[in-house]
Formats: sequence, structure tokens, C-alpha cells
Amino acid sequence: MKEQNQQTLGEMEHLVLLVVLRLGDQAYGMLISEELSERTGRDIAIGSVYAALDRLERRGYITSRVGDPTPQRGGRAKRYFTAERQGVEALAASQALLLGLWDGVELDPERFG
Amino acid sequence: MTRDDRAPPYLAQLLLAWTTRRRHRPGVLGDMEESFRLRAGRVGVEAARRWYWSQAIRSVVPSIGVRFRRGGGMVRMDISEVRQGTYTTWVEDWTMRGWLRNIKLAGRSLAKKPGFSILAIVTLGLGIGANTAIFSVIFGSLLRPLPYAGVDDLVYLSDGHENFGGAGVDQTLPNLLDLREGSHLLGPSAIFTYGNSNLSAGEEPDRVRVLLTSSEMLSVLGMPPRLGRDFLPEDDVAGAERVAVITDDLWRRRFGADPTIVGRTAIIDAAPVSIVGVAPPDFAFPGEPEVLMTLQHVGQDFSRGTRNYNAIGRLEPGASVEALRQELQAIFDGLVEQYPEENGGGWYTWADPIDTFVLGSNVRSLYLLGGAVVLVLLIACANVANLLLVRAETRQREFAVRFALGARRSGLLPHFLSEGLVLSVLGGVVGVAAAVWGIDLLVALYGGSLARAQQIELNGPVLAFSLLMSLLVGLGIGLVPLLRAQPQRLNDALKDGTRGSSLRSSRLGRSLVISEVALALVIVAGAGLLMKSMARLQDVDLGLADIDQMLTFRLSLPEAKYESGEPVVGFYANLASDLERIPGVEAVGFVNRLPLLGGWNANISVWENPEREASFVSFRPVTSGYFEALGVPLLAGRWLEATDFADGTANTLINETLARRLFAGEDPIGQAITDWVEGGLRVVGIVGDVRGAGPTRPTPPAFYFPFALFGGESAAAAIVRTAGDPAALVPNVRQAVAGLDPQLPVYDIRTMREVAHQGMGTRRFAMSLFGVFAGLALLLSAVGIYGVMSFAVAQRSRELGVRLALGAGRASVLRLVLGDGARLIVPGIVIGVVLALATARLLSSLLFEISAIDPITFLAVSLVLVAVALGATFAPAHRATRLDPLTSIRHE
Repeated sequence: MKEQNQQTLGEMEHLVLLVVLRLGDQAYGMLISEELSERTGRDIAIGSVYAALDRLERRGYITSRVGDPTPQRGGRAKRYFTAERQGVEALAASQALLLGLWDGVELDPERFG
Repeated sequence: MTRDDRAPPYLAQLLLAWTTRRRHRPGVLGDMEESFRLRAGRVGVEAARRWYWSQAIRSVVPSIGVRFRRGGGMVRMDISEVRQGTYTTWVEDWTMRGWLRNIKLAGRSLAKKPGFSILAIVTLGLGIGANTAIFSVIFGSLLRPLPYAGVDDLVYLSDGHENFGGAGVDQTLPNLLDLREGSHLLGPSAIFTYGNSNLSAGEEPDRVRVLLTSSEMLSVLGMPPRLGRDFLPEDDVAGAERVAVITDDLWRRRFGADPTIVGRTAIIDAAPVSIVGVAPPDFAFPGEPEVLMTLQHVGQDFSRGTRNYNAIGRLEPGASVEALRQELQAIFDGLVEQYPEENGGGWYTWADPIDTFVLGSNVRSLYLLGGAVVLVLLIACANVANLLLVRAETRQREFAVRFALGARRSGLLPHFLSEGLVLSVLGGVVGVAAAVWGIDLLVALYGGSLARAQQIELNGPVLAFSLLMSLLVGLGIGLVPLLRAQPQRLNDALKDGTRGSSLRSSRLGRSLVISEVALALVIVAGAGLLMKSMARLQDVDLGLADIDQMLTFRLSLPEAKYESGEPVVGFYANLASDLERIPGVEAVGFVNRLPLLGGWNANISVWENPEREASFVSFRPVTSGYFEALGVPLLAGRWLEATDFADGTANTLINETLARRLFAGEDPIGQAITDWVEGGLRVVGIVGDVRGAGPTRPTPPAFYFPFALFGGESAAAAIVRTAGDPAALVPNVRQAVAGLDPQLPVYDIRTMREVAHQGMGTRRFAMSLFGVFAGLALLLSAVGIYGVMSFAVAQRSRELGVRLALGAGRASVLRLVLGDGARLIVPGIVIGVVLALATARLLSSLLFEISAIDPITFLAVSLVLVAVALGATFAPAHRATRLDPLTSIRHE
């Protein structure tokens, strides 16, 4: 099996990981979803959110635990997600990469009329 | 109320639960329920339900992606291609968005190779189009459910006799009544027969097809009238007022959908008939009758010798068709004993599920065509897969780089699948467009020989079939190149600077071409067998001279206006002399039924010696011009003369076959046959044989007597022989008939050539389509061989260059490449012949006087394939001999 080394974060993974960090110990599916939708301005399918969470978890960027069931949820338990060190490092690397790339770039929309 | 209507939509929950990985199921469903409640409070339950559904549906693809553990989500691109400006990219992302992206990228990369893409799309379009057209025929004609209620319980009763091709023969009315009476397994049933009538409700007389039925028909079929009433038992009594139910179509066409139609009177065969009902719009019955009238059989005597009726009935609950058959046969055995004269001599009785009756005899040929057309699609797929393989081949190094950088083979899947799907769906669009036109053409050309032809159309189910087929094709051709992208092989591709070595061994591509050749051979063999049959059929000596110079038509004199005897005979005599005055007309004859179309049969004997019998002897009352119009020769004796015809003398002409059958070794002239008149019918001459029952049936023994002998026939067919084009006579014929009786419709106007082709419809249909498919198959496999050989030559150009440089002659290079081609062709043909021999049996019911494994046909077909395949190999081989050694060695 080949090592999945240094894989770049996909866009969705990037966003989801940031939201998990923002929400701290409140990060469970519904809040992540709502936050994402609010921030991006589009209604993201729950399946895509969980797909990203699944991938992040498999790479060890986040971990999850099961919370208590509540009646509003039809008696189903919440799953809380927590960012791990590797996740934070990946974000940091990606941030550094992007900042490096940004360095010296000036956005001047005027130029395009 | 048990269900919480503030709960999320149940089915959408199910969908979510089913697609989500088990580990996340409680989380996902719980989150969604929570969100749903929040939303329901904010924007209302309805909007929240819609949102839930949209979430569930949009989650399908990403969730399934998770279950297959696809990762990534980044765009990968190949640097070398970027440099060449032809880069292809794809996303390894199993979200819906990812797929759309991949498809867009595949589309873009295909657009960069328009030649390749158009060839692939057109190839698939041909295959899918042909399949769509044939499927629409199969669906409309066979698969679409019959409109009747409880179809599975409906049975069709007929008699059978070996001489008439088994079951499906008409029955006699008294037998049917006895069978119906005696059976416990047969529930309600209706007896019917067909007729043609002259309908005059307005100015123009119209010829309509009539279903004469006992009163139960519509209730047996479960199709009560949409307007008015059904037949009542009293309508079925002899002498009752004539009543009719008309079809929805006739109601609209002839009566402008008049809602007050019920109770109106129409004139049918010059007698008033009251219209009591209109059948429902989806009413359909074989033979497409437009008017239903009662048989009025109750209280009337019918002959047990007249086979002209059939019945449709409903099985009693729990009864099977097989059990019914046995029960009916047991009753029939009793009837044979009771009436040996009429029922003996090999007759049996039979019951079939109603489909057999409605769908007709072409079920088998349609499925055969379906099989053939699938083979064509397979060939098309093999071709496109080959094109994709070649493309993948030229990208080996790109893949190698990707693998070296850690890509997994499965990572290429979205890319290849997207390419396959883009090609196949575009091919499907082309195919459906072609099918629109193809279906019209098929129905126009062969509608007459297809069951339920009016139901054949491009509708929802047919489109769904095409879409499904396109997707399957896309998956199939998309996966093939993946087989060639193997990490272990690609290491070699990286190491090896030259392209040669890995490419000669494209065994997959070569096996695809071999299968193409094999499949093409199967189709071409089928087409060859059918064509040879058709040629044999065309060559059958019908016994008629110059059939392209005869026009035929039919008339039916209403009995209310023309009594049997002088009025009928006189009418036809007058019409004959009027027609003979038309310039160009050489002879005019009338007969009860046209030759080639069967007719009445009798068991007859020699008058002086009743021991000498012949069975199934065809007889025809004819007028004086009959034999001249048909061009039938006199072999012995004399013709029937004017005096014979004038007063209907009991003289007769017999054909050669009857002469042999009854009078072997004796002179028949002067002897008498039948006991129909005192002293029998005196034989005055022997005439040539005519294929009375059609070109595919053996010539029946036959005799002919003067039309006037038994009072004439009110319904007769005319044969007009002309020096010129028979079709040009039609206006004159109409004019001549209208001159005698303007109310009389002329119908079934056809040339004798068309009459001869009747009943060959199914064969012609199968043959023409097989021919078209064979042409397609040959073309596609030629393209396939050409492609593979061109590529092989291009790949070997270095090696061939070296050979040429070392002094190999052009002839030996040509031989080398052709030999390489032969390694594709020969196995293909061998496999194809084996497959074709194994499947040709399926065709045998469509063949005529030829074996399904006819060696000459198979040899010829193989030669055709060899020729086409070698032709396709020759161009690349020739190119190989033109190679410039220096360039080809330096190249790369």
C-alpha cells in the first residue's frame, strides 16, 4: 500500500476543517452544515459534508466521538468532531503555501474594467 | 392520526439512510432531523420537506463515494501535456460536483480531438439508433400490454390441420357452439368472423372492415363501449334489427365525433343498421375492424363444413390453457365421431393464449432482429473501445508519470468513465435522432406485416431504453482503457524510450477486432441465408405470365341490391366489357378470390368412380377472360367457351396437379368430377399449375368452372391485363365501376406483383433489416481492422524501417503486414462460422427451401468477410511499404 503522503487539502476538506476548528467542542454535523451554508452562501448537501469529514478522519486530521441522543433528533445520537494536531498542521501548511503564493500578488479588479 | 406530519419525509430518510455509511447514519439522520425541525419552524413544513428531499438526493453521489473510499478532491494535471497544450485534467472527487467537473473536462478533451470524437459518436449513434428503432418496434408490437382486462385469462380458439401449417385455422360455427356448450373450463366466450362492408353514411361510399361477432365480445374483452350500449343477446337472434358498435377511430373520422351518434342509422351494404355504441379509444383487435356487428347466429343453421369462425374466451378461475386444450379436444373427438364427414381427416382443435392471436407470427423474427441489432451495437462498442484503447496507448507515459507520483489505478476511473459516458450519451442523442427517422421508415415500409403497427412510436419507455443502453455502453467502453493502464506495465513505458515494444502486444485491441469479425460474420451469414431464401422465393414459378402487367381489385355487390344469379353475373359481364374498352387493356377476368391468396377447398371424387378421391382441392368460379388475364396456358383439351360461360354449363378445367392426382395415367378429358351437379362437372381441358395458396405453399390441385354455374359470387376480384403500366389504369377502373353503380366502392386495388408479395412481408422485413445490419457490421468491422492495422504499422514503423534499410523488399513488408492482418481475420472468421452455425437454426422458420447451415452461403459469406477485411488491411500495409527507412528510424 502506498503512503498517502502530503496530500493537499481539497476545497471542501479545507472549509470543513476550518469550520470544525471554529466551532470547537460544539462541532457536530448539523452545526457544521449550517455554518458552512451560512459562510459560503450555498446549501451544501449533508452527504458532501460527511464525505469530507470521513476523509479528514481517515487521514487523522480530525477525530470524533458520539454524544447523547435528543428528542429533536428523533432519538439519534450526535457525532462531535475535534480537530487534531495533524489537521492543524495541514491547515497551517496550506495557509503558508497560500500566503507564500499571495506574496507580491496585487489584486486590482479595476484592471479588467 | 398515526403519522407525524411534522416528521421528515419518510422515503427521503430511507434514501439517506441507505446511501450513508453505517457509521455516520445516526449522525446524518439526526442532524437532518434537527435541521428539518428548525426549518419547518422558520419556513413551513412544505418548504422543509422540499429541502430535505433536495439534500437527500444531492447526497447520494458523495455518500456512495465515501462507501467506496474515494479520496482526493484535487485537480491533477499532467505537466507534459500542459507543455504540449493538449493537457487533460480530471478531478478525483466523487461528489456530484466532481462528476460534473470530470464530465466537463472529458468533453473538453474530446473536443480537442474532433476527428476521433465524431467517429466514435457516429459509430455509437449508428448502433444505438438501430437498437432504438428495433426496440420501438418490439415494444410497440410485442411488449406493450394488450388493452384487454385480465389478459392472462383470455384464450383464442382455433382448429389445426397438418396441411394448413398446424393450429390457427378457422373453425366451424356449429363445432364452436358445441365446444362452448360442453366445456367447463371455458368461461364467457365470443365467436367471431370478419367481413368487409360498404358503409355509406355520407356521400362517398366507404369500404370498412367488419367484425361479425356474437354479442359477448366486448364484455369478454372487458372493454365496454365509451358511448351507448354493448350488444345484447337479443341482437344476436336471426332476423333481429341490425345494430352496430363502431370504433372510436371511425366515429371521429367518419362522424366527426358526433356525441349524438347513438341511435343514428348508417347504411351498411345497402341496408339500414342502427349504431348503438362507440367502442373505447384503446379498443384494438387484429385485422383492425372498424365496425362491430352481431353474427345473428341464434336460430339460424350454419354448415358444419364452413370453416370461417374463431372464438375468444376467458378461462374459468384456476384453469390452465393446457387443461382447456385437453378438455376441448376430448369434446372435439366426440364431434369427429358424430360428424366424420366434416370433422374427420386429421382435424384437431386448439387453444392458445390470446397473445398468439394478437401478436401474430412475426414474434420470432422480431426477437431475431433484436438479437442481430445487439450484435451490431457490440461491434460498434468494440470499435469505439478500440479507439479509446489506442488513445490510452499513446498516453502510456502520462499514466506512468501519474502512477510514479502515487496515483492509483482506480483514480483513473472517473476520467475514463467520464470520457466513455460523454461519447455514449452523445452517441445516444445521435442514435435517437436517427431512430426518429428510422421508425417512420420502418412503419411506412413494413407496417402492414407488423402486429399493432399503429402503436410503434418513440415514446417514454423506448427513450428510457435508449438512455439505459447509452449508459451501459458508456460504462463498457470507459472501463476498457483502464485494463491497459497497469502500473507494472507502465514502469516499462517509463524506462523504455521507444514506444515499440509495449504496443505490439496490444492483445486486448486485437481480441476486440477478432470478436468484431466474428460477430459481423454471424450477422452477414444471417443476411446471406435470408437473401438466398428471398431469391429462391422470387424464382418460384407462380404459373402466371408477366405479373407486372396485371392490376387487381375487389368489389362486393350488396345482396340487398344484387340478387344471386343474373343480377350478379350480369353486373360482372357488363363491367368486364366496359373495362375491355379501356385503351391498353388486353383481358379482364373475375374470380371469387385471387390466385396466390388461397380460397375455398373441397374433398372431391370422380363422378363415375367415387372411390377415386382427392382432398383439399381448390376450386374457383371464373369468368371467360380469367386465364387470358393471368397468362395461364392450356395444356390439353379445349378452353371453356363463350357458350359454357353464357349459361353456366357444368364443364370444368382442371390443373395439372389435379389431373395427376385423380387420373394418373388416364386421359381426364371427358371425365366428370364432384357430385355437385347431377353427372358431375365435365372436364374439357387441362390448364397449367398456379401457386394457388401463395408462393411458399405447394401448388394445390385445382379446378375452375364458369362463374355463372352456381349463380355467381357477389364478392369478386378482378384481374385486368394491360400492355402498359397497371397502376395507370386505376382512375379508368374507378370510372368504369362508378358508371355502373356510383355507390359501389372499389377496394384492395393492387398490382399482381403486390399480391404475390403479400405474406412475404415478415420475410422481406427480416431480410431487409438483416441486410442493413450486415452492411453496418461489415463497415464497422472494416473500420475496426483498418484502425488496428494502421496503428500497428505506425507503432512498428521503426522496426519496418530497419527491415527496409537492411534490404527487405517492399513485397516482403507488404506480406508481413498483411500476414499480421490475417492473424486477426482468420480467427475471427473461424469463431464467427462456429457461432453462426450454432445460431442459424433460429432463422430456419424464416428460410425457404434452404438449409440453415447451407455450406455455399457460409462459404460465400466468409469470402465476403475476408475480402472486406483484407481490403481494410491493405491501405495500412501499402503505407508500410512506402516508409522512408531513414525518417522512420530517426523518428522518436
